[in-house]
Amino acid sequence: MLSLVTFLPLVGALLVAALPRSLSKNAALAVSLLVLAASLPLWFGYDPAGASFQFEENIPWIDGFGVSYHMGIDGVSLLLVLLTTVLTPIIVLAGFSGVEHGHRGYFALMLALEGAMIGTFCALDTFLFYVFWELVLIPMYFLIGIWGGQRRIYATVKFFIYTVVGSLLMLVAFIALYTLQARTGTPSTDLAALMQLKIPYTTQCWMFLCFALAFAIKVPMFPFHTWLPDAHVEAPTGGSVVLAGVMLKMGTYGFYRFAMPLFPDAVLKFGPWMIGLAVIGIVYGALVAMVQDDVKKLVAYSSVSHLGYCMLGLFALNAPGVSGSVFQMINHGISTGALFLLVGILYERRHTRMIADYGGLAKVVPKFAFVFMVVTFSSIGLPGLNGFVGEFLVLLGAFQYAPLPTSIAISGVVFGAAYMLWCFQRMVFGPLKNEANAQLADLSPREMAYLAPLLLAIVVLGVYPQPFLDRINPSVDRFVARFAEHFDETPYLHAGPVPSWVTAPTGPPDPSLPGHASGHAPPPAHSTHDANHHGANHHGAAHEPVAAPVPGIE
Amino acid sequence: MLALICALPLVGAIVNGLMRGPRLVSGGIATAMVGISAVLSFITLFEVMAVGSGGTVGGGLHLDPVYPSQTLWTWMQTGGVDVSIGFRADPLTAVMMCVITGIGSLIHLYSVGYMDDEADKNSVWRFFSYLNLFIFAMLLLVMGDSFPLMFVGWEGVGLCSYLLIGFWYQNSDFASAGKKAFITNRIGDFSFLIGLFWLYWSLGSHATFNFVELAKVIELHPELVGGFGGCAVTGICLLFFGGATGKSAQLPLFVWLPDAMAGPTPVSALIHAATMVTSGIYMICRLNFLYVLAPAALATVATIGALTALFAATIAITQNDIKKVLAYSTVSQLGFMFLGVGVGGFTAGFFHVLTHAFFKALMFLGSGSIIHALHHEQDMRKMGGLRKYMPITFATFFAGYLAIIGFPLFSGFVSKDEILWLTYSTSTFSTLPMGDVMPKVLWLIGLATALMTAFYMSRLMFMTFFGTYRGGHADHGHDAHAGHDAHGGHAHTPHESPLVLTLPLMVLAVLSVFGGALNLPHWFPMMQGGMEHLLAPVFNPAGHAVHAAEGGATEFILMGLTTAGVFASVGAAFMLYVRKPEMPASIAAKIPLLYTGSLNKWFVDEIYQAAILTPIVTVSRQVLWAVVDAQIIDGAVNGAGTVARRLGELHGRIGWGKVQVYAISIALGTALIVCAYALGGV
Repeated sequence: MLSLVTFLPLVGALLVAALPRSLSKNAALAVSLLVLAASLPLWFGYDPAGASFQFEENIPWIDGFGVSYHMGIDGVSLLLVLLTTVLTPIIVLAGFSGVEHGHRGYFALMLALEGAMIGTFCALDTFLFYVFWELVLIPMYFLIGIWGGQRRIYATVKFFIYTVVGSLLMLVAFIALYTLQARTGTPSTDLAALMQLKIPYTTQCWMFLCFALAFAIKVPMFPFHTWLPDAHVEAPTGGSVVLAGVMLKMGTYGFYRFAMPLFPDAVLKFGPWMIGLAVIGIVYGALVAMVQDDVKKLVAYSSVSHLGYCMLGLFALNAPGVSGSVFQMINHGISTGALFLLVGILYERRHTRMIADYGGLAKVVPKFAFVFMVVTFSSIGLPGLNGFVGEFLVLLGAFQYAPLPTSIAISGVVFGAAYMLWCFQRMVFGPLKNEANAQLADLSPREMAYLAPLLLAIVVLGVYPQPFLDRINPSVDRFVARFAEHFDETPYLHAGPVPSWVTAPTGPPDPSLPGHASGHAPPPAHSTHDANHHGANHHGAAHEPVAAPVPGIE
Repeated sequence: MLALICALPLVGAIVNGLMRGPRLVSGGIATAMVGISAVLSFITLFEVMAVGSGGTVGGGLHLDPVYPSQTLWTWMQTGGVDVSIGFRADPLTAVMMCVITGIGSLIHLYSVGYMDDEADKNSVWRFFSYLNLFIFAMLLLVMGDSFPLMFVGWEGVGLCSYLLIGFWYQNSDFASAGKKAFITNRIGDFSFLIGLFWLYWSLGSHATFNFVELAKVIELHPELVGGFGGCAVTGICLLFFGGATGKSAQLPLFVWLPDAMAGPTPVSALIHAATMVTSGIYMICRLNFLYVLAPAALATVATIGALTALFAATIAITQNDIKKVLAYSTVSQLGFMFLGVGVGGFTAGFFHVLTHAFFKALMFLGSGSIIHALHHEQDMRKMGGLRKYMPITFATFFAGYLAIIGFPLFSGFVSKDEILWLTYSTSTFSTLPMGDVMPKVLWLIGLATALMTAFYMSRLMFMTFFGTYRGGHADHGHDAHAGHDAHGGHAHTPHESPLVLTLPLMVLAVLSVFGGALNLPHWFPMMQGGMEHLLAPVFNPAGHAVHAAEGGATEFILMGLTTAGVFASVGAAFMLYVRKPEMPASIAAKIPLLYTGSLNKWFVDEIYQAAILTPIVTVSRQVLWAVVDAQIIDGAVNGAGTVARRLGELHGRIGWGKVQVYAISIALGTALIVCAYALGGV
């Protein structure tokens, strides 16, 4: 099943490349719709109450090294796979116009990209994951390098250097993990086996840092984000949509699937720093987005801000935070994908991305303005639309773990509204300043056809998100439990140097309150941690936390 | 039924959005939807009244009253967090529902007439669609049974306000006013959300978002929010109040409301006078069980309310745009409501919401009738003598005027006097430092505001309706204010508005005159405290917080003092604006600083711009983007590339690409080190 969904687009890519030029558009659309159809049984067949990984396929691949072709999805990968299969036909349909040359190559690469991304979300073997991960880079490299804008070469090289550095560090960490596993006598690259490893604390920290850097570049987290605006600006519309819609989530997914569960102790050590970077990303991304003149750059920086919410939620290490984070990944794919499509629609007509070149569009292209408005409000998290559910859960969860940084992050709701509404107003409202815009054509039926599903998703996910949450909840609970069980085993984490800005307790300081310390947190998986957290604050360290030496464990 | 009440306006909004009918069709649909909702809301109110205040069963166990409620579906449920889409109508909600849909349907009806001169006939459906959407969001705000759902309404009304303020979006200033409103409200929401999360996690294993459960938990375990020596609950309440200052336009976030007058006048009446801007007061009333635990927070609410009331009044006194006067008057009256709530008089504060909804909606609609008749002229200096031309508008407006200045026994008198008396006599702050002086000071501020209100409303009244008409001769064909140019020729004398406009005025005038009957003071011979009794089950935990002492003589002396002052103010205004119209200018010339300050709204907008907005944008552009992003981070990346290339030049080419190779070799070097660590066995 998963192999079908993964390899169908890859086979389709070859097919499109082989078919004559005139057929490539329609063939690509047909293939992408077929993949979508093939992925739907995953949604209906996935049993939230069932095994942690479903639709598993496990075939030995390279016996000597314990490498296997191991695929499987949990609720989180399920949603990300569906996000990919839903977005791809939309991207293909959007590419019917605007791609000026090399149709065959463009569509073939787009399908190849889809397959590789799905593979990344399904792989449960580290080696297999790495193969898919690298495979994604190649089509993207060419998509920007060939179909991109004027500074595409600079953008591609920057994109490539950033990601290659990250990838190699990840590879190193995977090799190191493999070596550790090999020392147990059963060499394996399977994630399930590696999860059983007892990894020394210091080693965990180093490996986590390698992974974290690789994934943080992909997300991208501040300060590894500067490749993103350049890549987005130069990428063709479809490339931007894939990049923002799906590829960035490979980074957050990498944290969720590998970097965090494999090294729980390191996560607890570096968590506060990751939260710090996430919060900086949220505010910084929003502030820088506010002053952009190029609407694509604006959306790119808004991605830095939105992905900051995802990271904040993940490192909250409790169920609302992580669920919210996953939900935010999906939301961002939909809203930002739609934003890039809208920008692409304008660019095709006017060949400019400068906000100042527009203004007063509402009068000329009312349908476009309406869609733009809904997407704008989705992006700024208006309650009732999808963006709110993710943001609310992320902030709710993160507030329990780190009230003060989260409070700073909440200021993102103000800045987020500021940059989106300012941009919207300058482009859509006001008098029609530029004569060149007077004859703009409104949305064509084809454009409406590919925007409609996104609008529908924006409303449905906002009003009735529960079916989606139902599917991710069990997986998220298992993810969270992974850390809960480590809280007891690693008491040093709570004596370790915690930056003072995360230590403000959220609850009443009086530890003598009956039932307080034991029953503080509703998510049961998290309560141990919480109690410890508070204990450290109230009893041990009313003064500054002392930087105790950190002992390792074997 | 509750869901239906809420859904009908939404259906109206969607149908109008899809049908895009002409004015009478879209307006008809919109009005009908809100009208049906209004009927159902009143039925709900009667149901709620029939429930009463619960009762006691054997053994003295208190039985909670069972109010109508309805749960539709699970909205968000994940790891302990459980939020449903559910509605509940207790007395507080039911009264609000009736205000929203009742006044709402009147204003919808009025709008059908008001929008007839809209230049772009094809966009009137948009207006009605937004207006219906607003009613939906506002109902959600008051009917939602949990915080997140209330927040949907809370932000939803903000959205509709944004859309309607910027309804004439081709005017950049109007569109900016909408944006300003939304973003200012978001600043309040920032505070609101922090308060919400803090409250939620304080409750530990009892955490809930549901209002009913929340009230129970707080009642049973007040110690949960008593952290930091009781500062937690104060902090939470203050953060919620921060949200209220945004939505209800209080210091320091009031700046959006005057600008919001850019919207069509019925919008100002519905959203920016009667309903949306009172959400902050509603929210504090809803959370009364929390606020009574935090006297310091209540004191802050009262102080900010009183100061806002006074501050806005000092601006209203010099404005020349009729809608601006009403806007600052609204800010001022909202301050009064917060003063009432803040001194612990939840019913008194809330009752002022009600009477203010009557008379302020009336006056906004009345000003709309004038503006409509004068082809979108809003400058009072170009009005005058309208009493003769527009007798119905004048008579109804006059009723509203008497209500707001506090003419004895008019609705505004009843509600405002109750607030002033409670302020004077409150013991809510007795535990605070200066707690005995504070009520007297607040009362003085309230009194001063009441007198100023009487003055500037009289000024408005005299400038608009008395004297001679000053607008007829000037060239009034060009209209800089309205975003559309809809003049069907040059009418030389103003004319009375049609019935569709004046009918809502008449209804609201009756309510403005007699509305006080809904909650008559305790000294009145009959029907005392109707609202007090109705809302008692909601404010029950707060019941002991207010000691509205029967003041006997003191109460009547203060009342007499206030009333005499009000009459004196009216007299002063009469002297200045009717008898000696040249006087105001000469007075203004004598106190240029005060006059210029007041006329320019004390330069608050300019100060915010210079102190907050410009620095944020400048730092973002000049420092974050230009330095941090472009120089530091990219500099490091490019620098690494350059270093690698230099090294490569020293070492000689190996024949592959340049940069990539060195990036790879750097990474491999790091890799070796890590491997050494991993394998070396720590």
